[in-house]
Amino acid sequence: MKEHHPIDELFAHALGDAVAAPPARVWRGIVRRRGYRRPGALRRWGWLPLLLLMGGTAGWWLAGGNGQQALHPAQMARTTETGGIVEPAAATSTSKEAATMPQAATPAAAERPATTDTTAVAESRSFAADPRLRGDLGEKTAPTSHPGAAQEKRDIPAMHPAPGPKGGQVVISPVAPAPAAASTRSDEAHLQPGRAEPENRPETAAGSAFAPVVPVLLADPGAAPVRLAVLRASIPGVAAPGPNTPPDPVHRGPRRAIWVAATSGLFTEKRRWKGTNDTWIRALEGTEVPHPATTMGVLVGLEGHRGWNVAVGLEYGVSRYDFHHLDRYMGQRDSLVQYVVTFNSQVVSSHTETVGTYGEVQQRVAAENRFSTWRVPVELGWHKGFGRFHAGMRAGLAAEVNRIRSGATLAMADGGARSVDATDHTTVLLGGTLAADLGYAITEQWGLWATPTIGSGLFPLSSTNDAPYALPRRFGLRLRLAYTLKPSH
Amino acid sequence: MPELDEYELVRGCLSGSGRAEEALYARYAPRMFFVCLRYARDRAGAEDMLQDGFIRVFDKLGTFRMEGSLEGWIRRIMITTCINHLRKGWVYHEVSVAEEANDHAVAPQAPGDLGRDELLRLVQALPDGYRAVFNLYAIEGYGHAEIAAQLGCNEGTSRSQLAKARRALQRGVEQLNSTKRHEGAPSDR
Repeated sequence: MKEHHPIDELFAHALGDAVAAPPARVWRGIVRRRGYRRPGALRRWGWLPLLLLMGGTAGWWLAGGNGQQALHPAQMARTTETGGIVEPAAATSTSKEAATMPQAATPAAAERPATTDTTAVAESRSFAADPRLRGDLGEKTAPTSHPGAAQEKRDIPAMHPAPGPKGGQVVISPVAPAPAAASTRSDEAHLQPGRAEPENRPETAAGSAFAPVVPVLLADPGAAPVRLAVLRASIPGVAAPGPNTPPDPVHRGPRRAIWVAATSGLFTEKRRWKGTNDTWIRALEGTEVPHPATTMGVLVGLEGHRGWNVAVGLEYGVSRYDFHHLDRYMGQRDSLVQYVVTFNSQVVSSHTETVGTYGEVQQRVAAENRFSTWRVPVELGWHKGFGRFHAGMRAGLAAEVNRIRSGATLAMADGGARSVDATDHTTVLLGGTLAADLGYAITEQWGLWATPTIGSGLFPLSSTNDAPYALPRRFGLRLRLAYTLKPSH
Repeated sequence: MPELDEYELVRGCLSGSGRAEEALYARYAPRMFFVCLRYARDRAGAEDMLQDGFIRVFDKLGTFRMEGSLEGWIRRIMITTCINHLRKGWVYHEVSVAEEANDHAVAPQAPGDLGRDELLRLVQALPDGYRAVFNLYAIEGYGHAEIAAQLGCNEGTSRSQLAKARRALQRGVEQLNSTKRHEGAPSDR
């Protein structure tokens, strides 16, 4: 039974229902510590940092400021290095009458250097690349008896920044016009010794300057929670909380809330090749270099209990790097040989034959590979709040559609790997991501998250028909500006 | 914002309305601040308690079942927050049963005409344990069993703390009354 005491009654009567107006700083502190503000500048302009970031990323990308050479995106330059002719092949063409006086026909014409137009054109006849990877290269380098057509291609210098004739078109061009290539005189024909250049790809800008650009996440220092207890501790004579102070209540963010986020990411990406043909895989791996990749997209998430959340989204990414490869393979070269029979300076008869030779072909191929990727990520995340700041983890799977918009890849030909056009080659695969999640509540509904991410392709979802396929591996930073549609506490 | 009943306020807060939260704070903060003043040593401590208490209120608002009084629910959270603040390092002053009996023997004197602020200062001048027990028992109306459960002590401790608090307050009231008498005497002359 409760006892009544005059002191109790006195104080209960005087203090029981009393009120006292709290200072305004208490409410401001609540607002700060709960991670949002009433309508203000941050709430109205909180989206600006990510917009600037995304715009800057796009501008950086479009301006080609990623450290790569300013090659035309669609240009693939092919340079014939040497053409050691090993053995003559049987003449196949029929003779025809000549109307004009030609140069004297000599047997040495059979050893015509491989840099003649016809040789370059005829190379493609022996091309036996895998049709799955060859694409439409065969059509673009189809054999032609029109030397002028080949000459047009040769006149396009390799590694030249001038625009190519068409996106993804294969251009065969010499590094420098050789005398033999410029002349059709048979007596100037000579063999060029095979320069077995090592297949060292020169260090490209893409390879040397792929350092990831990590944007700095700026937190508003003025928005940090101000603990009254801390302030009080700095006042002489006022006690500060002891070491066993219970943790402050934390704004854990809205639960059962849906959020929508715009994402932007910068990654360093390298592709790993998988397949059954080890030689092919090694050659393909040799063409890969780490390169920058950017992504943009949207993510929609649902906050659950205890900081758990699930999200699904759609992201688009682009990347590019310089492709370099020294093609070395055994190929047949066809040459036109004209025989002329003269008597007293009069042409009695003439005929032309095609002489085929079989030998090692070396040619340097340079191209710029451009990729685009559509991703549908499904992610599971968990985070814990520390005032306005949040930290957590994310993991997820993503269906990826990787498409080579232009560029080159390698196909196995007779005796080695050859560069082929890979435009519009598409791979569908399943990827996985693991990420740390660091967030900052700009306002009650706007939050900015930085997500250091490691991602990797896991396995292809589309049929590869035993052809090699590439699995990208990415490491970088993804930023997410999230807007909570329906917050609840 | 039009005057909303407390349930509408809660629903507004749960839907994420910042204005509803501000309105809820504006409605209940003055009373809760005085509750905190009673439990705290000083005003700064009370502000800390109020801030932490309302953050807990907003965090736990989803658990309010819309059945009882919202003010009572908020007050309970606020008291719990105040107790948690006080439990940072207080030491219970165990007293013997005999001492407790002596405390009961103290005859309360008439409190006189004391102001609210003076009484509040008397309460704030109590040691943390005395103050908590006295507030819980004399003003909130808790029993010793509830206080013991709330504070994590036994009922005997609660009783002894209450007795000591009463005795200290009694002395304080008497001192205030005598001071007032001394201050009023010259003016009477």
